[in-house]
Amino acid sequence: MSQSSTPASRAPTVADRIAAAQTSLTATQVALGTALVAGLLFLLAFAGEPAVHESLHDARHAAGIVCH
Amino acid sequence: MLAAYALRGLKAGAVAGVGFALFVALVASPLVAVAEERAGHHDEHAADGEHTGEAAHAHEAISAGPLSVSTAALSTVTNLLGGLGWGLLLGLGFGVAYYFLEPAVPGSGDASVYLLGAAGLLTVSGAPWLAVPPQPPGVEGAPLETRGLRYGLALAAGAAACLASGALYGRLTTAGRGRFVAAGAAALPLAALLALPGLSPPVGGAGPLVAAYRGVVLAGQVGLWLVLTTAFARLHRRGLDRDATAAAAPTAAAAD
Ligand SMILES: [Zn+2]
Repeated sequence: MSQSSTPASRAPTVADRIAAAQTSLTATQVALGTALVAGLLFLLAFAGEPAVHESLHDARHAAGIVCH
Repeated sequence: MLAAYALRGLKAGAVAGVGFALFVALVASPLVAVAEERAGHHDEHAADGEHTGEAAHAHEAISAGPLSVSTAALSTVTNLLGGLGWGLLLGLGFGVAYYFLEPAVPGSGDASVYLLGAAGLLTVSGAPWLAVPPQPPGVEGAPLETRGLRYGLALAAGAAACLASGALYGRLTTAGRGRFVAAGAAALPLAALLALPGLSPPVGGAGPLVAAYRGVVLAGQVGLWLVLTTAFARLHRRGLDRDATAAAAPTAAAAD
């Protein structure tokens, strides 16, 4: 985990963070994170198959996500 | 460093997700069941006839047989997992967003965590609910695709409004304006969100049950974000302390 070297004297900016993210992340981390978010989003928000819908119906309604 | 923030977000999301899963199982599910019963979705009960009145308040009376009891148990488990997943999703999203936006969020330390949490709640739930209010099952509305699209558009509008609000506040305070002036100006993009309900036709659904349902859903998300941000703030503080001791002279590391 390489510490992005912003000088301590200067407060970091959003641009610093974006630059640091581009160098510090491994491809595996990006793939894992993307897969997790995409999978959860698909299951919770988009999957409409009756079986999936039936099993997540209450959770969706509780979260105020649109459901049938 | 982003990975550390994302991990903190996931951990906080797990804590909040467990709480939300319990909320789904103990509070929301019974309420959804009542709403479905009112709407006559539970045909088994309707056909059963005799005890419908009692069944309404004692919804545990899924005593139709071993098969339906096990499907009910399975659906409880999947809904618990769904609640946990919702917490994880929000937590991960929050951790990543906080990593990028931390330098721009007004306030410092815990305050900035809670402020971004409020923006998250507004983006993910608040703005979309202005366009598509949470409906208990059985209340007919627009087709699912239409509502999903509106939800997504309102979510994007909420995110844009929050970003614009934060950017405006930052510009004005660095330009030397007073905090109150800057905060007032920053409230304008958020106020624009109030136009959202006008963009979609109102759906039927007044009545005490709908109101109670919306109150419960709102309380659930507010609670979820409170737990999420509290846990994240604590983990973040701990992480910063650890970084500081690691960066300091090795002899100081014992001071913890
Ligand atoms: Zn549903």
